[in-house]
Amino acid sequence: MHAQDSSTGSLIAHTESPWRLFWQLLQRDRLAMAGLGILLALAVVALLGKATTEWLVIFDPTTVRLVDKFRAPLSEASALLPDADRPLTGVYLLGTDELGRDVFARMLQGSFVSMSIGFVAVGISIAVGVVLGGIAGYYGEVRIGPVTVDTLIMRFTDAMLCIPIFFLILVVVALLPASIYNIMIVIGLTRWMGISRFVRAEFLSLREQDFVLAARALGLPAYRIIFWHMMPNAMAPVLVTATIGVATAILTESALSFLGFGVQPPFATWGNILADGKNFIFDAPWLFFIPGFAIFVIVLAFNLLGEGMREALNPKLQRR
Amino acid sequence: MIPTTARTLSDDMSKRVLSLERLHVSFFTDAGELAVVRDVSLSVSAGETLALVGESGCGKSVTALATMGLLDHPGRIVAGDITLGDDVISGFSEPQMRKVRGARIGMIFQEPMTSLNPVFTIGRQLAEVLRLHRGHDDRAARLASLALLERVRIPAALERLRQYPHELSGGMKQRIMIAMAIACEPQLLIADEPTTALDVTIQAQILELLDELQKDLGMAVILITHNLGVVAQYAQRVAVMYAGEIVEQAPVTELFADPRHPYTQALLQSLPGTVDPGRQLNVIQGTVPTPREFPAGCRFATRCGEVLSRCASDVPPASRHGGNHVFSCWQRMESTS
Amino acid sequence: MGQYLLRNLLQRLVLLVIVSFLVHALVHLAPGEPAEVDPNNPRFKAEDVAKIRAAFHLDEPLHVQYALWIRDLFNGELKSFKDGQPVLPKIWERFLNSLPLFICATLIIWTLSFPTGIHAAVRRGSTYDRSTTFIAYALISVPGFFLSYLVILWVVNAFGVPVIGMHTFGSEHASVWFRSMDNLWHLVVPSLMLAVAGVAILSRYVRSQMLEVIGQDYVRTARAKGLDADSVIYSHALRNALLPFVTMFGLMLPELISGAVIIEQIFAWPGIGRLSFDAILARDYPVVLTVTLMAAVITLAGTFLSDILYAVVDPRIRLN
Repeated sequence: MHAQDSSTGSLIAHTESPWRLFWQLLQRDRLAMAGLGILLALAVVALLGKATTEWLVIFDPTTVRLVDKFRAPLSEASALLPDADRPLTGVYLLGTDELGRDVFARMLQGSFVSMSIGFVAVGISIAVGVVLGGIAGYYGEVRIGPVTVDTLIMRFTDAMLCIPIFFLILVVVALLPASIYNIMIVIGLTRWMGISRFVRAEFLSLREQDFVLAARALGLPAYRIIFWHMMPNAMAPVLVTATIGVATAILTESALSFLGFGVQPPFATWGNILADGKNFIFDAPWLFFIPGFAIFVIVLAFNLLGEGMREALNPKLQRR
Repeated sequence: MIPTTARTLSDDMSKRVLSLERLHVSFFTDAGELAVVRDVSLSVSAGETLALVGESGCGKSVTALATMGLLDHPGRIVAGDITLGDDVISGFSEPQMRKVRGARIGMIFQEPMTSLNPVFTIGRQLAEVLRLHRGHDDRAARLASLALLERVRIPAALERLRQYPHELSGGMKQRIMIAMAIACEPQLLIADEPTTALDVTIQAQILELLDELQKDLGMAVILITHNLGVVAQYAQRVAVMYAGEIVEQAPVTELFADPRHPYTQALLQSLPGTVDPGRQLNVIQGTVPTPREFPAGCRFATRCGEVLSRCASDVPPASRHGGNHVFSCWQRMESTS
Repeated sequence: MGQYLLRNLLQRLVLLVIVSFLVHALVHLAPGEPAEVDPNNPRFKAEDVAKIRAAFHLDEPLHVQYALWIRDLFNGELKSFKDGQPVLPKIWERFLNSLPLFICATLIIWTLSFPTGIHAAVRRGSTYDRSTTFIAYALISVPGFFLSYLVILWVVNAFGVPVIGMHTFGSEHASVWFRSMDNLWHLVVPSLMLAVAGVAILSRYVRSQMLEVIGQDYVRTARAKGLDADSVIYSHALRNALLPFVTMFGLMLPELISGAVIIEQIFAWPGIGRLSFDAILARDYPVVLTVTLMAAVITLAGTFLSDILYAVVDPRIRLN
């Protein structure tokens, strides 16, 4: 309510920096903080996973043990197994798959791969979105022949938005040679439209604001105005989109895996473990439920954190 | 020292329309209870205009919304009574309050640009209130709406009824708001900074219109404003609010001639034309404290030039100066007695 | 008004042309050849490859291929690589199969998310609000096919009804009642799965729109008139909150088509999603290209309709 806003507005006079205020508001959101906690824990797991499955192989995700196929979680390794193939402590924490591979080790390895797919893809989206949106917003009025730069970029963005994104990803991934890098790149290159539209809108309004006009009046070079004066102001909401984007990318990878176009062996991702697991849903349900639940938790954590950040950045709520 | 309530201030008890007695409103936030309105007592009689003056954020609007029963979460009336005519409306249920709002109390707001619903025609928004409280059918509501538009001096009224708010100017919209507020001839009209958002030339017209309607309808009017010039011209009595409290209340002429509270004095001295030309206008040092920072005693203590040791800790009681002049200040009370 | 619509229509046609360029370029620039449909097939000789290439103009430069594609598309002479059937009737037939899914999913999305979102906004901070918020996050965080499998398992176990396919195999001679119930089950479960993400996202969006509108000055005016809460919310606030959703309608169509690829795969639904998936697998360019273009056409038609509707419901647009 307006009248109450004007009174409560001055109730809480903020002298803190915007980032500290953002952090304070975010801390009040218990779901978002839970998401952040889970993500920090998973980041540690992913790094440890990378370290213990590839650099210093404590958990071996690739060993095939045909005597130990479809072992349930927490079951002990067969005595027939040569010592070198035995899992650490002799117990399969999360069971084994159809080739007798240790699911725990595969999940550990997959955590790093899944997270890096999410982050790399989002990194690409941000880069493309910010650059295109920034150019459209800042140099929008420049003409190339009969059309302005802004028209050019925004029509391109609109066109991309008309194509079913997942469908597009599928087409391109299917046509390209199967590779984890192609998947990252393709996911990244098809999800930048929201960011570019947003950055453009933000730049258009920032352009007219006094501090930017002042910077231009001082004759500062354009790159300095863009990166030093304007970008920080447009960055916070991009971060929100990015956080949620990581979640979407992880889900997209799992859906691609389901259709058989996901990351190919030897890389294990949570997505392809889940996709393989669906074939053994009755015989070995853990192969399906463990990766499914893991993906659910990590994606939920990203989504909760992202939404919490969005709320904390909402100027209306900040005043309350 | 006399314990003061609204009762002691009223000129003519029989004509009194609204009285607030020791009203306390708090906001219950995560950070705890914020007492945004403390111990506010005032009253207004039929045909009288009471001006509620103060800086933005001093609790004027919250007081008005509390009177309308429109406080939103987390705001709540913690103590005190609101009496309209013979009814203690602060004790009314929500369905009872609905029969009061729009019918017995009309309210107009600061922002005419955003106060009308953009997707409905003027005619529909006007008719709504008449159908609701007067039980008019479409035809009667239409006729009454036309009459109302003419009453608030809107030309080409018939055409206006079919128009949407975005097709009208700000001043026109505020006239529509006024028409809606007075549609059911309320006993009380609350005008919350009705001219702040308008051009200066339009401001005077709107205030003249309000003045005229008040004389015709005999309404009591509470005029919320921070413009002392408006107060001098249109109000009979003034209540000065500071940080959620009424610090001084008096008939207009008396307040301007003999302000008692240091805040009122400072406010008046900051007006152009009150000091000799060439001298600098007075500026009140500092800013209004936030509710979290309100001093335990007099809330003006942090900015007062004549602060006493007890001011910061003890709440000054209301004291009388002459017949209808009440203020709350330790310093002045002692110097008077 | 007429001019507004005409300009709008023209803009969309331009967009469609851009989309067709984009799609054509993407598919043809990707490495790999349609002639490699099945390189392991011993009967596939070099001269067959050459014949196919010639038949489908694959040796022409890209822009000529584009022109030929468009020409054949409009002539109705565009043929599938795979079986030589005309593309348009093929797509149309499959589209008709998918249509019930799309309609049913759209109905579910819009009928569920509005009451949920409005209720959550009105009772902001209540248990209801918090639980629907959490459920919405949870639903967008589950991999779609994981959730579908869980639901299939549950439906099959709890109700004993099979839900794979458009109807139960061999049910053609059963009673009318059995057949219609059977069809209903087979339709509702996949539609629901197709709708899940949409419901979650849209209900959150409805909630935030409602909150935004409830805070507006004119809502306070409505309350100051003495209107009851229902009139304030459902007449004054909702009408305003609804405006942005008119545009959402068109933009949700591509998501549905994307979703159909996975859902139809899971439920063995012979619709447009499966057709396109099979076409991608077979590198059947004419089908892939045309389906993507059709999706864009539907989306653009949807947004065009939205714009008309918007002009009808928002009085502020009419004048401009």
